[in-house]
Amino acid sequence: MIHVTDELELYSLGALAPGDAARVTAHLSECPACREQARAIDEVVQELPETLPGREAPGRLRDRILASARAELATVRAPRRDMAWTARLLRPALVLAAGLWLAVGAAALVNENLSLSNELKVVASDRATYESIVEGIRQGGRWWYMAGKDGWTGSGGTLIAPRAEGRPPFVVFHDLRPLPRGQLYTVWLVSSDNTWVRGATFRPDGKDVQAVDVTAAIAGFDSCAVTIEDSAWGRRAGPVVMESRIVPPAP
Amino acid sequence: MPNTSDQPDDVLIVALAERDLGALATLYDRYGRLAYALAYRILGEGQAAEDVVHDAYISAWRGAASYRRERGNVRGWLMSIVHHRAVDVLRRKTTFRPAPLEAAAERAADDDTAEAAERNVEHQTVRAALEGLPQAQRRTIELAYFGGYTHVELAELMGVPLGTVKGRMRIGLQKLRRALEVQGTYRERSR
Repeated sequence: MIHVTDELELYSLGALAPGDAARVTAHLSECPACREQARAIDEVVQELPETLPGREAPGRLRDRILASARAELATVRAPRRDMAWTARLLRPALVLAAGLWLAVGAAALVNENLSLSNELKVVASDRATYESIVEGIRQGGRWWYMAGKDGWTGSGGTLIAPRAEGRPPFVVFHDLRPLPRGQLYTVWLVSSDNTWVRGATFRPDGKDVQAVDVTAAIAGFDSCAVTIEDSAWGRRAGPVVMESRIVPPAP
Repeated sequence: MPNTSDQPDDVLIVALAERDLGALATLYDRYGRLAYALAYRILGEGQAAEDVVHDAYISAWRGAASYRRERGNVRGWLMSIVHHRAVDVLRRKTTFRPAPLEAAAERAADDDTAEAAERNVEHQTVRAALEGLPQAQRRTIELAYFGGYTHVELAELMGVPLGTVKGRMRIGLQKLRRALEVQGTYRERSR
């Protein structure tokens, strides 16, 4: 092994040509003796910035750095949204499987420098969510599909009332559009005499598939719909963006 | 974001590896000014310096898990990233070389704030140690570290053999180390 002791000052000061610097880096990775010498030299070199006159960084730089980091986090956490057409066509269970695949796939494709442990946390969280949805579907029961209309064409949701006792009804949405601040999606249960009862109020979470629990019992209602409201309370006031078209017979 | 402003660097770097934006903000508040001063000194231009500091912090954000305490403190690690990136940018600009340190100091003086002046007082011992070196050693170290010159370029620029350049760097850094130790300022700067 040829040591690089003679080049460590040059290396630490950044005065080696790139090829030579790479050679020293490679040597340091396998030579503890040279690495210890390099560390001692680095300690001195790292004091050199302290000799500089103070200079105020632009105020926007901090915001810029944090915005970039925040955007990276969002990229890691949000599954890709390029499967909208399949989501419209496939049955909900397959949509859920696609969502799970997307979550795993997105995590596998993220920048290699990102922390693996955090990728796994995100995937594990998404997988737990999807598994819970799939489990609800597996129990069987009644389904109402709500198709998006007007500007929400392509979006949709399936209201599922599981057969198992104790399991509350829930809606599995796909391809939900983002909403302006202050606006809410609201799920309504509609009876044959056109009475509208609020079943859930929520904001989209940006994922391809989103499950929302319905807080009202569905017995006695014939259809369902989704509106956009400004408030989590009160009577329906906003436009209908999804509605069920077919009422399947009770099993 | 949780308040991390009082956390030591070693805690912050762990939080950074766990994608904690508060840790990133605190490390910027702590060392962003020094990072910008270093990038500006090397590049001599504000926008380029800003870009380098941005890229360096994002690189640290992505690579915090690779940080090893035994290879140096967090401040040194961050400054090393900034330095490498700034020199890399500088070397791609074939026509520009920064002014000597003295000129850079004069240019910066107009922008200095009271806080900057205070910080300069805090770190004047490091500067005094560098200025205490023989001129040839000091200039060799400055031109390499702040000017981005390779030792081959320095030998040509200064009209001396390669061995002389290496010798000036080695002896200069050894003296600098001793001076900092004697002054009692050679210490862990990371919190």
